[in-house]
Amino acid sequence: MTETEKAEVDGRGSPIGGRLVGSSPRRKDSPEALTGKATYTGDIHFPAMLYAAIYRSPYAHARIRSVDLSRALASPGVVAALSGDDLPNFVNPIQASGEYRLERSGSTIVRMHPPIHSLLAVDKVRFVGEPVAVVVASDPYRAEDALELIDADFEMLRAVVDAEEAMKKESPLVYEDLGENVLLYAFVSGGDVEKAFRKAPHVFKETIKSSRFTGTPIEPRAVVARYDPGTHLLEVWATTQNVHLQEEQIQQTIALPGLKVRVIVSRLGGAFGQKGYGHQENTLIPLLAYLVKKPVKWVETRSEHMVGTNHAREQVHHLEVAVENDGTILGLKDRIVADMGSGYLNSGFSTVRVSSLFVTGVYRIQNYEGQIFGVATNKTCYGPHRGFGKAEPAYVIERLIDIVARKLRLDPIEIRRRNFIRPEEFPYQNATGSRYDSGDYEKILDKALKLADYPHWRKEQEKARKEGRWIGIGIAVVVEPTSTHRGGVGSYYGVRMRVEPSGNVWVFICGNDDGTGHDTVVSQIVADELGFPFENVNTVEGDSLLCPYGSGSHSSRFAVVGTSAVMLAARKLKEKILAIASALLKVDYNSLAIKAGKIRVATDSREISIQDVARVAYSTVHRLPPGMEPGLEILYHYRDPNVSPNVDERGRVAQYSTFPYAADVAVVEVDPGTGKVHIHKYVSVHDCGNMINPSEVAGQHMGALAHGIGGALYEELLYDETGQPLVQNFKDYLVPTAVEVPHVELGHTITPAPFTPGGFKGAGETGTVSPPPCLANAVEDALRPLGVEIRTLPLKPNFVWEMLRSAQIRTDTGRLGSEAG
Amino acid sequence: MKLQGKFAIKRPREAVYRFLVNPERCGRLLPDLQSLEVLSPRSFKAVLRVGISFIKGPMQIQFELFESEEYTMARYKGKGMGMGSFVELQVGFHLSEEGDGTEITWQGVAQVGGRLAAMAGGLLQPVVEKNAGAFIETLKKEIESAA
Repeated sequence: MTETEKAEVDGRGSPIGGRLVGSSPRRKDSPEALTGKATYTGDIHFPAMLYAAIYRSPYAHARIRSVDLSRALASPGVVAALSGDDLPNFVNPIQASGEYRLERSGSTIVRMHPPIHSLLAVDKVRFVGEPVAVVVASDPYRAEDALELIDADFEMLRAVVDAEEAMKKESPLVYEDLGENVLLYAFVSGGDVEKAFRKAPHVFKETIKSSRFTGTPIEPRAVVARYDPGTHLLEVWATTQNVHLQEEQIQQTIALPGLKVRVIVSRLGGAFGQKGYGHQENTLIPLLAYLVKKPVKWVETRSEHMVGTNHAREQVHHLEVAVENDGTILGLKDRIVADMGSGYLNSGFSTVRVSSLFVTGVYRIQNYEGQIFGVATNKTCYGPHRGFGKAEPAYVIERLIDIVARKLRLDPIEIRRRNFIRPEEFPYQNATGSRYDSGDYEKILDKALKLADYPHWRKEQEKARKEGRWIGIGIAVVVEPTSTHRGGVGSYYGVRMRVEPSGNVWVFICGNDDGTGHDTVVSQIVADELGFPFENVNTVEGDSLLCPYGSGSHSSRFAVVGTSAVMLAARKLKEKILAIASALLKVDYNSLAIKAGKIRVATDSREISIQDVARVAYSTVHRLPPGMEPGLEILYHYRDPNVSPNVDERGRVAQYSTFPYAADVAVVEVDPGTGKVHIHKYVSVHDCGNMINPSEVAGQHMGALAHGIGGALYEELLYDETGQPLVQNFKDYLVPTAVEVPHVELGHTITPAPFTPGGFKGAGETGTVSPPPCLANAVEDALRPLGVEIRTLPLKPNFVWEMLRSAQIRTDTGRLGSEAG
Repeated sequence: MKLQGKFAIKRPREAVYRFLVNPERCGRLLPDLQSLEVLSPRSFKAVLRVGISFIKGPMQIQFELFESEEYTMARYKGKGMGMGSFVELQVGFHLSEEGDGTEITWQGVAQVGGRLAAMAGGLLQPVVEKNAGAFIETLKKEIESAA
């Protein structure tokens, strides 16, 4: 159950007579999405359209000896084929984006070597799935069949598939010209960590790993492109979260003088960070459209997605923690090794680096030192996934708290309470430079424990142990910072808003909807701010030509900077509307109010419609107040006050703007015969500040929890020692279904964000962050009498069973028992 | 994947060796062979049906007798691509006299990559072992019955 308000609502679910922000009107896009009428990139069709299929490397690491396309080109229906050596001279390698170029010169704090790579592999392939050649044909089946006619010869090279092995001198080099496999080194420190460690009565060391997995949006990636020779315009429909950054990258890579590029996102069926702008196909398909002078379409298959789209999460944390006898944490050190795979995605660098900034989690730890190594291996590129580099440190710190509790024989709940950042300490400057905006971690933990009926389950656990059953309770309190500056381009959000004589409001925003209901949320805000009917608000997004420039949809930023921009833009437009109405009605500006599309005088019955005001603004402009510009249109940019891309001498940076958080409690039972983890109860209490649309927040949080549970218990991208991916489809990659995802009791607390006009924080990612540590803590709690220690994920049945086997004490009947009983 | 084994044949070592270094005679014994083309005295191309169950299709593999020592050793390597996959393998035979016959010790290393490896996964090993066993049995019978 959720704690959303139950107001009296109209037929579309909107509160009658009340504010829309804070209520849950039905989503505007639901009918078309649910009835199959929504248009996704894969639905787009043009006359004479051609289809592309990509020949991908089956080798993890190999030199390309030759690629012979002659048989493919001779195949019926094939129009064109290219390999890396066939790329025209005007095609540049894919460049690092601005935020990475700035730091590329290197420093002692941050050293980065983003590899420069080509649209199609040249000389060498570095991971299974790397694009080597492409075929364009009259239908997708001929294109796919023609791939079999490509004669490619490779010289297999030794692959490296472990990041720590890849750091050794004798390891094969993924990029020979770099001379090493460490693509990123970053250092950050706060306080005096050496002093803290010197005075600590206890210092514990632990190594904790998080496994490799990915996001699996239901819609794989797709690109459609067409070129108009008359206007020299390349139009690209792509599954990207960043239309303007994608446009920029296409322009830089296809360096044709005077070329214009427009990128449009039709609709996204989920993104989760897998649909950034750096993927080769996003530029390759437009290039093909230019070369063949016909529309070209490419749609990724699921098995392509599993190797061709970025992976996430694989990190090893080598931790040292200094603690007092009562569990107060005095200092923390973390040496992180992140497996970046082929490392070509720019956003992968940011993902990795962010992990070093939030290891202190929700705790008051000012003495901290973090080092992070982002290492190249012969695997699919590392990149963003829901939680973007913050899920890994959250997992680590929440595990560490339980481990310290166990070593000191203290209650993990009490250690958390002792170390939480206190409400009165907000805004709180964490050790790595971020200013946490608001929070009450004790309150949210208490609420979660109450919802879970924690004392009851501790009693149940005692009873169960006597019966030889392994029940455990796990807790996690996590923060998931949202809305990053992204080197500057993410620190603002542009909105264009126009009121038309029809009475419609058009809102052009710089993001795109990846299933998150932007148009509904925008309509709620604008309806409240402008006093317009909800139905009259229309949102346009995901178009690099029509929409204001910006970094797009990522980092849950729409709720933070997007809504702030919409809100403040609406207020500015409202000022102009009221000023015009005041002049027309000859009344004081302050006596006017807008409601249901009409401007009313507070002191009498006079009113004027928005349409009438708009006609004056656009047509009879001589009636405008003196000096006022015609039109009811505004372009507004909101700048986030709580981020800064400046990195100081200790590597500290105010990376994120708002800090939503959650407390989860899980009750599990481990089947000793199979190792399967059964979830008896799962509670998640979430705080994203003021909620714009509680139903939307609940839906997002629930979806995120499913992602998090998948990552904790089932999902893992495995490779063999030669770099072959062993998981390329849903037969082997176990995305949880409705059967595996338990019923979750959701709750909310509200601590408004002080730095956003609406008090909103980002929402929708925290749920991926909390389940892994919560469930790992629960399973370890369940198996504590057997001495089982959890240091890696996922907790698949075979893995748990193996742990049990090595820790077990078998009874004469062969059943597992315990010395403790 | 690594495999090895040993077997004895009631034929002199010279006869066994001559059979093993003959691409036409040796190549014809490959399991799931669809076509064979001898390219030279030391190399041949074979089209084999590779894979398991519904993940099975034709793959052209080029074999080369890349190392040999008269009457004592013969080693082949093979490389092929298809179905978004590759196969690279080496198989070596060491011959020693045993009474009137020959003892043959063989080792094979095979690497499969790409779609086939991902789709078939751990199911490939038993299939490869079965095919290797069938090849060896057929080889033994052919050599023993050869004139």
